[in-house]
Amino acid sequence: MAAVLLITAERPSWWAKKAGSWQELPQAPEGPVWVVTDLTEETLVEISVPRIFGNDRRLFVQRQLINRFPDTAFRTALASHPFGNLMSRLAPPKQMLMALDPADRLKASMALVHTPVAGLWGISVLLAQLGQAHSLPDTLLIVLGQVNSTRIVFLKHRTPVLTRLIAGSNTVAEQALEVVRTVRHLENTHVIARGTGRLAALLLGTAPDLAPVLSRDRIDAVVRHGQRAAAADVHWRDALFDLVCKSPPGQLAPLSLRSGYLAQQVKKGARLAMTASVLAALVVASNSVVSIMNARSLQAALTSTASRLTSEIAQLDASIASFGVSPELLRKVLALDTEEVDTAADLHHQLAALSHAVAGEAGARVQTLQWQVLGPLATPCTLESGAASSAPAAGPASEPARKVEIKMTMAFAADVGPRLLLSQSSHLTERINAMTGATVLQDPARALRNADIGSSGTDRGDNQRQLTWCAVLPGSKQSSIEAEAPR
Amino acid sequence: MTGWRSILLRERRSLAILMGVALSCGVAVLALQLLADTLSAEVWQLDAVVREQRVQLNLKQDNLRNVRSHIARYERLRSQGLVGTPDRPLWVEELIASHGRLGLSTPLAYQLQVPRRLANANAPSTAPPSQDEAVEEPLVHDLQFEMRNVHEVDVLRLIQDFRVHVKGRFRVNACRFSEPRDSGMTAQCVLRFVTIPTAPASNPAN
Repeated sequence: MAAVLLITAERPSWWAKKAGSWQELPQAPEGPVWVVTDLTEETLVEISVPRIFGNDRRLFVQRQLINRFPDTAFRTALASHPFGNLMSRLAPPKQMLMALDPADRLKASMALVHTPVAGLWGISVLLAQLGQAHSLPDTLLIVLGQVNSTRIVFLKHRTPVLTRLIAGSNTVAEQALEVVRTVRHLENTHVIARGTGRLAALLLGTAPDLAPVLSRDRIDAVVRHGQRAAAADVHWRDALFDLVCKSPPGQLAPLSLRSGYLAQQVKKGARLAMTASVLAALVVASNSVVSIMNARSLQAALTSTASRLTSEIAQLDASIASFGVSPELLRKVLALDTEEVDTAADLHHQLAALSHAVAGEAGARVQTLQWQVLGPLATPCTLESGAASSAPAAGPASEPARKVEIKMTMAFAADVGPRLLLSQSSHLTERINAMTGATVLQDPARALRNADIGSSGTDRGDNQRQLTWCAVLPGSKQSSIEAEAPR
Repeated sequence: MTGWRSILLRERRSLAILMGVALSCGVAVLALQLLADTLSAEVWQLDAVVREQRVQLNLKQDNLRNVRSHIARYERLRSQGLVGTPDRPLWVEELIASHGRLGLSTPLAYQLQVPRRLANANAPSTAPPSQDEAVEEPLVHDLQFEMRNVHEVDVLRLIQDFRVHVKGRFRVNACRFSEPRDSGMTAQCVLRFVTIPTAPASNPAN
């Protein structure tokens, strides 16, 4: 339960919030306490600050604070409300300092407090924060009327520049007089310009007839917008105590006075941080735990699968070994037999086909016949033609295949005329070409048709003309079948 | 600052506990993460092993199917001398025997060349590969023979008879017929044997 200690000139009083409203307590409660002072010692001082920034500015203000209020520890620099140009906003040329000076009466009151002190605020600061609402003008008088005193705070550019506590002024006339006197003082000290415009005043706890009286002196009462703000203006104490329990800026107590409360806060923060650490660790670790559990389960399944596969592989190895031959050797043996022996070109078959082709030419006789299996990369019919053949070899061009080269020299009778010889050789070429997969690369009929035509020499002893054919045939039974297919 | 130091010193126990808890939480999180990473890596490796085993299993199943379906042909080829150390003198003797069986009166000249690797089959003759080098590497053996005054048909019959009786797998690689006369021609042929030598230990025991 939040508790507030209100220290006034009359007596200190304890307050706590019960059933939504602040009520005075007969004795000090347990737990931390927020202290509000309403004393005449509240002092506001404005100092000039050179254009310095950051830590330099902070240290300068701190030194000024010590110099201005050397006899009290209850002092602070108030937050400035930025206004003016950019430089003035970044480094305000004026700074308000606040202190409770002298602090003897306050110290005496605080000596009776045995509960941790959350902080100490002057009522002027709290009133100034109420008056800093955006719905109110930035230059404002705040008048707080109490039973035995009246507090007047003046805000210029939303910054408190003057505070007064007037004892015993609780009638309308007295309050109005003090307000007007305060305004005259401000005019005399050039805080505000004399006779220019009307001043706004926020009246809290004052006599109801004060507003019309002030109006005659060009001071208009204003209210804050909003239902809660309007209610707070009526129940000003609740509003101030609610505000102070939020520990607003402008706290005055030295650190030594608040050490108990701050230690409690450190302990509470440490506990919160511990809880947060544990929770964060649990959240982060939960992913890892889930991963670990999944990995364990997957690992067990994979290990089982690996064992089963190892066993199956061993069984297969045993089965293969029982045949007494390695699969690689078997594959190699079968491939070798198929490629080199089984599908090799059949000499008998090709010679029979060639005999059939030659038999059709009467008077022609085979002089020499060479049948040879060539490798896939060998060029057939090169020796006697003198140049590599330009005709395609048997088999697909993209996949060189083994082929058979046939060189055949035929002898024709010497008395055969050129036309008959051309005819016979052409027929023979056609018949060789008609053999399955055959391609004639060296064709003497072409030479007889296009080249010089002549007889054999007269001095030659033989009476024959010899012509040589060279052809290429499929080198394997498979390619023979493939070559046959398109026909 | 001095004031804050005294406050922090006063609450050093809470702060120490906070540090300990935070440190423990951090260590626990890191340890669990490390364990999870290690296990993930192990699972990944195990998965790779299992995948490899599956590939091996499929390969071996294919191998077994292949061996089962072709073992008969393999055994036949092995019995025909394709696998193992060839009996080269027997080939020559069988050629002579076939020549004799067919009653060919013309003399038979022959030459069995040194074995060569199949890849170098068309290269000039070189020293035969050593037994260690040639294990399970196909070799070719060219058996050349020549006969004079022989008819083409007789040569074909000789080759056919030789194929039936010889223990070896061969094909006719080349044949040349020349010098035709009334009594026949001169025939020169090359028969190419193929073998795959095996290490003695891998010879199957029937």
